[in-house]
Amino acid sequence: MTNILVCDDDKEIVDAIEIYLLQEGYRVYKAYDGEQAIRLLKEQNIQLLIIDIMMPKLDGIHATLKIREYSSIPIIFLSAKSEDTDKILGLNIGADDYVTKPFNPLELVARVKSNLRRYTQLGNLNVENNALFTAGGLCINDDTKEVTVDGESVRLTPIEYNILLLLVKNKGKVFSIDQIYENIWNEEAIGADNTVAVHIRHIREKIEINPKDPRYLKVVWGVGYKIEKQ
Amino acid sequence: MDDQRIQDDNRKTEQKKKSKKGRTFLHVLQHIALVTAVVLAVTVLAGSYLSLPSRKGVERYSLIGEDRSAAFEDSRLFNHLLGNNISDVICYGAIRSQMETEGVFDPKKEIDITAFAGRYGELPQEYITARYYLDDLLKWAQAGLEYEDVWMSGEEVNRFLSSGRTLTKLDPGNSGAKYLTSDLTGATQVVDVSGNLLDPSDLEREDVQENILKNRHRTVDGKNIENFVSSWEEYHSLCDNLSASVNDLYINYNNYLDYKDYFDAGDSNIVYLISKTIGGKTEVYTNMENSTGTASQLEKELKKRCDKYIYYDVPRMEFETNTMIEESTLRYLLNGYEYAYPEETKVMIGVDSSYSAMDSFTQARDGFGNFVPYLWQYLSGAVICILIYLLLLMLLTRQEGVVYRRDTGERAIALQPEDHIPTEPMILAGILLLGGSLYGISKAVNMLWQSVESGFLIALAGASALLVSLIFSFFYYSLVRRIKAQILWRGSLLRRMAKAARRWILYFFRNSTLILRVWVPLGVFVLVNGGLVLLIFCLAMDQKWLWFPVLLILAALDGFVGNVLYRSALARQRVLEGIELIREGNLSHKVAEDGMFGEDLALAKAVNSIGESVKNAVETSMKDERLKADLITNVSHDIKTPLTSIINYVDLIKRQNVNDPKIREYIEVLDVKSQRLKQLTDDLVEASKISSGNIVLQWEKINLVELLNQTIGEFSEKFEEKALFPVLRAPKGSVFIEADSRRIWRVIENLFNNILKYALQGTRVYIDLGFYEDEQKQKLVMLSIKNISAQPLKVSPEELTERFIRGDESRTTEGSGLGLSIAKNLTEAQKGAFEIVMDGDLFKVNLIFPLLEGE
Repeated sequence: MTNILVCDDDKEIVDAIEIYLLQEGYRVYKAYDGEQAIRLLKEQNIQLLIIDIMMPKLDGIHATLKIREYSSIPIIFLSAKSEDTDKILGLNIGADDYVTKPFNPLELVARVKSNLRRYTQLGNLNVENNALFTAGGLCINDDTKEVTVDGESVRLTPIEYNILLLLVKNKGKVFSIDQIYENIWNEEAIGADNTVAVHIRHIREKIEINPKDPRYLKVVWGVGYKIEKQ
Repeated sequence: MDDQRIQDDNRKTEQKKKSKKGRTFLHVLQHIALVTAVVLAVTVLAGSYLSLPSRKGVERYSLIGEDRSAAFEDSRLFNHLLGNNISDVICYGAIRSQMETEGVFDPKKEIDITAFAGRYGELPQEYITARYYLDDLLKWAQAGLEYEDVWMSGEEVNRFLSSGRTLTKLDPGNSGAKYLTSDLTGATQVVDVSGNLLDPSDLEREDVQENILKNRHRTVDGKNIENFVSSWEEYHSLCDNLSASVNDLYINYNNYLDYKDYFDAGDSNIVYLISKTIGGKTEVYTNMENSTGTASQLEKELKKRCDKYIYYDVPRMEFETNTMIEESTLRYLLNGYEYAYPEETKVMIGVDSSYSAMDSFTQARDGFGNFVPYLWQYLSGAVICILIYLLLLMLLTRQEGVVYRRDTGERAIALQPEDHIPTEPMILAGILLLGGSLYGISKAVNMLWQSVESGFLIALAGASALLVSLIFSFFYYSLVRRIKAQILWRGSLLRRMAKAARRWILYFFRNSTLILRVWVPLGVFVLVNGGLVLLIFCLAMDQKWLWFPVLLILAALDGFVGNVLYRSALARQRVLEGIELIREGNLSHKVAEDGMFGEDLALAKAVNSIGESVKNAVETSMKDERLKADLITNVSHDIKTPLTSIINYVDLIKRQNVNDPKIREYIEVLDVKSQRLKQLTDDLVEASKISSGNIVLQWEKINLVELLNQTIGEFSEKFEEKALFPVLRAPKGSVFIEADSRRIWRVIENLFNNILKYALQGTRVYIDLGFYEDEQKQKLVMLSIKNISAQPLKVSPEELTERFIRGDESRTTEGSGLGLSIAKNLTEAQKGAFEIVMDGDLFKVNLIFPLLEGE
């Protein structure tokens, strides 16, 4: 049984999240401020923490800083603060994910699952295979042509697979539409159109929890596409 | 509370009074210090010199350098005085030997004139002389020796001059003896040499005109000079001896009287005892009252009376003293009067330890005792006083005029009435008064230095010092107060004059027409210049050098005018540059006003004040915008939390299998509206941030073709849903601009979302990318997005980009209404232009960016 601690000063939000998580078969502990969360974390065997930032007594940032002193469990920030700077701060001090309010409950659940999988399964994944390419939770086995995200298998068309493989092989490098086209189709791009862009969108819809806020396949607008180095 | 304040005030006032009293006390102390220092210094100066009576008059002695630990008797002064007195005693003794017999003045003392006249030398064995009584010679000296020219025939001469010479022979036993020996009875024998022993020719004398002495007195044996000689040569020689003796004796007689007074017992502390023995006869000179005892008794008594003495026994070469006088000195003195002191001479001179007589020794002892032991005290006292004075000067300079306002406790400078006198006359008066009094004092000191009592001199110096100190303090502290109150320049006549001149000039410039303002100075300048040039020519004609300084003056004048013109031009240029900079948006720019004057200064000030107000207005509006953005951000945070619950629970209700279609419809409405609310809050925050300039852009090289392809790819399915057909018409290759990747995407995304919402279904959407050049030959990129509106366009393009304004005013459709506003503001933030063109149902948006060339 996986134990998840949900911490928010808004009781209704905690209750709603609890309902969704219970449906997925998790056991849920509830806390309404940072101090409670820390106490519960010490008392119970918690595998994942969802925590709000703006809370009375001890806010999410400081609670996370304290928790990170002794624990490495996945922490997902849940906050009304949607600025880039807030997200960067949250991720930098030790959170694994950042979900802005108001959130889509399904997306939250998906992120919980994804984080748990990475924490429990991928942590001990130790494969020495030249044909294995990974980027965070994204894993491509070029021998079996199999793509998994946080351990879950994803089905891609051959072109989508090839595009993704190209990008994963060159993590961090930005490929323009023309470059992708020339690499995949092996012919000169004359007035390349939006074909590649459509494929990319399809890949994103398959591997990303929220395609509009991608974790792996990022769009560099006006320049091209890349897989983030993680 | 009030009581407390009153008490505080009282305390402050008291303190103020105290501090004022304290300061007055310090001022008085300062004067006292200076006066004391001067008094001490003058005391040292006056006391360091002693004016002591001596036989020759008043003599001055310096006490500087005396050992202050030594007794007066061991001082240089004492020994100096003693030396002088010894010299006088020796001299007196010699004179006494001429005037006295057995220690008493003897008018009938016989004087051998040849021996006397030659007393410093050695006498020949035989010589011609005459003997007169002392009183006769002195009387003769008073009356004066008289001569007359007489014509004599040979016979008369024969009758006048003796036919033989009278020679005086010294006893053979007295060979090598001197004048002294001639004084002894029986030491000489008189021999008349008869005429026949002479050369016969001697008796046949010629007629002559001769200078003959009038015989006022006769010799002891009733003769005259001519009775002793047989030739004119001998006659004149003897006359000369007589004349020398008369003169010397007369002088010595006067000295004798002086010395007698000087050394009389009771008038002098000098006690002397001189005994000399000539030919077995001992004479004793002394000023001891009891002079009857034997020599050794007298010596003992002298030693008893005098702690300090000298004893010199010439024949035994015994010299004894407890003073600094050396034997050689005494020997030298005695040798000077060799004729008066025979080999057998004993000298003993002492200073009476009781100092009973008011003579130079007593005065010297008093002066010495008053001064030497205290010299260092005086000097250090003076130095300390000077130091105190300087210290007080510093302290008071710092404190001068400082007061603290009773109500606020603020530091302020209190001015005195004299501080309002203009600076220059004040300084001038100070210099004149101070200089005048110093000059007067120095004159007075020079005049009085020698002649007045030192006490008076010291009092005078003290009074002068007080006067100078008062004058100095008065002017000095006034200056200090002025400097502190910063009215030194403000209170000066020079400034008043400068101000008046300036006012006049400004008055002239303000109240005259432009023509007058330009032409009058120019006219004056040309006239002066011309005049000076003319003057130079005239001077160069006849004066060789005078033209040069005039040329220098001319050059200086022209240089000055040039400088003024240059500075004016410079000022205008600065003002123009400033206006240009402000116009370009550098609102914090200030035109530097330094060095400007007149109209230029007014201009610069005006420009600066305009710039300042614009800057303030812009800053205020920016601040307002930022506050608004912050407010909106905070409100949106507060909205988001309840919105989260709404969205979550609507979703949860949807998951309950609700069968009632009505309820399902209601839930759908809730779902859509809550999602819209979410979008609205996000857009609101973003719009307010962009318009308040609260975003940081990350500039990148953006390929617009790539961007459009990416965007169309993203939107392809949505377009298909709405049956819209995007048509991209772009040049081949890449079109680069500089922009922020995510922000430019946001612009395009908003525009596409707008199209999705409002475009007529089944139409094409044209996306055109092209270049053109503007007036400045800058290459621009224009991106046009055109679509056909589903609804008639009723609003103006301006209204469309205003916040919360949308094409349809009913506000029932989806969207926040901020899309176009955000797109426009973001475009402008990225140095682009955003325009909307509407033509019937055609809706067109043009985005214009500068082309990034080079690749």
